[in-house]
This record gives sequence, C-alpha cells and structure tokens, in this order.
Amino acid sequence: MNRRDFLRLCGQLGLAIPAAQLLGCAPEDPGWFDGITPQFDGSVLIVGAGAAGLAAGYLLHRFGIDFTIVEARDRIGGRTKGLSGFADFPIDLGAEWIHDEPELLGQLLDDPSLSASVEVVPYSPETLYVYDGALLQLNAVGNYYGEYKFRRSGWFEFLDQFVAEPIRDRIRLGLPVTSIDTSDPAGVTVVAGGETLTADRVLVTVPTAVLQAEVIAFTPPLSEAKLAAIDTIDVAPGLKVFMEFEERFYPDLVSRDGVGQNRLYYDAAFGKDSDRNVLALFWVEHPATELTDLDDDAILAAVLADLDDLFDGAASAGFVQGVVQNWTGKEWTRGAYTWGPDDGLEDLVATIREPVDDRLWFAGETLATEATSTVQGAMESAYTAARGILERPR
Amino acid sequence: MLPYGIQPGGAVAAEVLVQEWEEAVALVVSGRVGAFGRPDHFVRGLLAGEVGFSVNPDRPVRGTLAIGAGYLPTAAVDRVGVDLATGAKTVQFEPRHLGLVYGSLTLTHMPSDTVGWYLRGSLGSTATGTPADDALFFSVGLGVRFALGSK
Repeated sequence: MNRRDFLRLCGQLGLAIPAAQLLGCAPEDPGWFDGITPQFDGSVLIVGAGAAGLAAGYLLHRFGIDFTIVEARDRIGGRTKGLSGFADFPIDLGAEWIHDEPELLGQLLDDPSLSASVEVVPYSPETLYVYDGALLQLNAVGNYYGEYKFRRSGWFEFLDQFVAEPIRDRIRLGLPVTSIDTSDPAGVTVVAGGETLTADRVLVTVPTAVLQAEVIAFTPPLSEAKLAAIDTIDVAPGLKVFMEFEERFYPDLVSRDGVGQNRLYYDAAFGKDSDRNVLALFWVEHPATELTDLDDDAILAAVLADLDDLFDGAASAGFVQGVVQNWTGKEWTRGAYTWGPDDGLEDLVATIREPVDDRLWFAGETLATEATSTVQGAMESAYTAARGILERPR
Repeated sequence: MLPYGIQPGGAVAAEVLVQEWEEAVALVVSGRVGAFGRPDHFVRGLLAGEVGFSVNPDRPVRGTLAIGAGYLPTAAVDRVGVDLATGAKTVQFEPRHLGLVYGSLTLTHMPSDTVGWYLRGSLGSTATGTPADDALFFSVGLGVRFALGSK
C-alpha cells in the first residue's frame, strides 16, 4: 500500500492528513550508506537546501566528496521551518509529524558514532471533533492514529542539528539558481544569484512546483517525457496557521470539513511540555486556495472567524497572537507537497528521477519511492540519487 | 505492526445465576478481569462487574444482555527517547485511571453440560479519567465457557 492508497483509506476512515501520512516507510535495511562503492571523485553542486538537498550533502560528506549546496532563500530547511519564541516550544511551520516509527530518525542518519537522542511522543488525540453542521465528538477515531511528534524539537531542528551541522560550511544561501547547462561533457555550469558555478555533476532538489514554474532554464532542455512527467505531478496548495489563546476552548483535533477531509484544527502543544494554548490550522488540499490566495492578515482573520463560528466566539475573545505560513504563496515552494496523481505516480517519479547523461540528477519529496510527501521520503530520494552519483564513474 | 485501532487483549470472567424465571429468563451477575493494549501506546487493565438478563439460560444456545461498570488502570506511553546512533527506544509511561460504563451482548453455545463457546460484543464509554470523558469503547470477544457448578 503506498502513501496515496493509505491516505485514501484514512479518508474513508475519517482520518486526515496528519494522521494518515503513511504506513511504515523506513527501509527494512536501516543502513542507508551500506554497500556504497564510490566510483566518482569529482565535484557536485546541489540545488536546494531542504531535506533532500541537505541529506544528499550529508551522504556526500560522509564519503569525502567535494560538494556545494546553493539555496535560493536565506535559510535552510525547505518545507521544514522552525519558529522559536512564539510559544514555549518550537513551532513546526512545515513538516511536523513523524509518519513512521521513531527508530526511523536514527536510520535516516545512519551514524553509529552519534552521541545524541531525541524525545518523541505518540500522537494519540483523545478529544476529537468532526464538524458536520455542528461539532460532533468522535473520540474513538483517535485510536486510529499511529504517528509521533517531536517533544522538544521538530523536523527543522532535526535536520539543522544532525544533517546540516557537519556540512554547514558547504551551504551557500541567497543564491537562486536560474540556469543549469549540462551540454558540456566536461562539466555542468550553473548560474545562481548571478554567480557562475561549475561542478562535475548537479543534483536538483527544488520543489516540483518550482520545476513546474520553469524558474530554472535547462540547457539542453529537459526531455519532453521528463517535462510532461513534471507537469503531471499534482502539488497541493497548503498552509499552516498557529494561534495562541488565553484559554483552551478546543479539543485535541477538529476535522473541520467532516469525515475524511483535510482541513484540521489541532492542539499544537499536544505532547509538548507546554503551558501555552496554541491551536493550529493544517490545510493541504486543493480547496485550501480559499485561504492560500489571501494575504497573511486576511488568512488569519478568516481562520479566526471560522473558529468563532465553531466555538461561539471563543477564538476572537481570547486571541493572543498568530502566525501564518502560506506554503503556496512562497516563491521557492509554490505549494505544500505532492498530492497525486492517484494513478501512475510511480512511473512519473521514475521518469523524473532518471539522470541526464549522469550529470544532472533529481531528488525531493515527490521522487521518493516509498514515502512520497514526507521528510523521510525526501531524504530517501536524495540518498538514492547521491548513491547513484557516487557509483557511476566519470 | 497491527492495524491502527486494534487493541488485542484477553479476560477471565465468572458468572453467577442469581434468579431464574420459568427457565426462560435469568438474572445473572458476573465479574471479569483482563488486560488489553495498543502496542507503542498503552497497556490497560480491566476490572469490571456486570448485571444482566440471560434468555433461555438452560438451553444450548442462549443470549445475555448486560450492563456493566469497570475500572481501567492504564500505563500510557508518555514519551519515547530515541538513541540516534542505534535507533534504540526508551519508553516512559505515565499512569492513567479510567472509569468505564458499558453494555454487552453475549451469545453462548453450550453443546455439552460443561463446556461451550461464546461470542461477545460490548459498547461503552469512559466515564472519568480522560479529557475525552465520552470516549467510545467497543470490543468484540470470542471465548470458551466452562460450567463449573450447578445453578
């Protein structure tokens, strides 16, 4: 069962995205780096410092390969993003849930010499409402949640502390890539932020929606098959909104649009060591354009108005502060994550992943083989691509 | 990994026939002790008492409708530490104490005087001990029934 099948099943069960991201996605063999026999000792340029780009750099670093990561934004993390200072725990403005068993975190790092641990909490909401003209309690549905959340940190901190830390000096921020020229067999030429950079191989990890927007000009152009595959990928719009209130008036989870829908209000402090009342909105699906097309102030106002409708005005009455993360409205994401298509995604992924002349490679959450649309999926695709780069001789 | 929502467990129960009317209906009381759990989430004990009516109590096929109340001592997973080098987990539990009220329907088949089997379903709600005071509980059970004494 793949992720989309599982999402569909969860929809039928009345669960929504955070609950339903996927079944076990960790590889049976936890040794991501086992059995790699490097045949390549050239240089690599990685485009994008999200989970995939960082993971690729992490692997190349372990094998002593010369590489540079260029990132368009002034920060790393991609669609993981931490916010500190809003509450008494780090806020995950992007990826938040661990859609797998927590051992996955160690498997992703694959470093027996690490002396570190993280705390996670099982995500088992006890109070769960579904809105169907009125708020209905369906607490038993909480038994169907089988995921985890970080207790004191988040996905961004995980990537920042353990994946990015050993390679931080290889990351260059504020350099949006505008062109990639692979026509010269001697190497790749990349223009990033006006600078011309060269490398033997390039790994593109930008979000699929950014590829669809043709922000990057490829020379020679990508094949028709690859372009068609990229364009066929369905990237859902999405956003998250975090709001602090003076009093808690909400349950652990509200499925706003009824059973099986994907607009969720959830207690963001669930399982955290927190005294604050922080409620979040998670909405990733096409109808979310109702909000993602608005500016942040209008989004927050609309969300508070919606909560007031649900909870008899309690939201506005006790509102303290709010923050909006509109993933669709950001130039370097242009959407939340891969949503489809339901049929044929595996073939599309294989087409996009196929390297061009061994010099141009692709990775990212879309291109995962087992855990599409997740952080671990992005990292897995990056490890696969980096392994390919290493194992193909020049 | 078990499918989400499956919480396997078992119980031992004893039932006493208190009064019988014309061999058609009987008042029965029972008590049960058991445990169940959800892997990686909680382990939960069950202490419960029931009172109900049994239809055709002397026939091989009989049915019992009962109401009950119980106590659910629970050890819930509070947090899990993950060693990033090995992936080893350290699980910390927190105690929880839940009350439970429920109804049950049991269909019993006693092909002999001493042993038979039953199929049981129950539906109830936690009464206290959790923010979700109305949390729905339901269970399906298959068991073996021994007749240990005369009525």
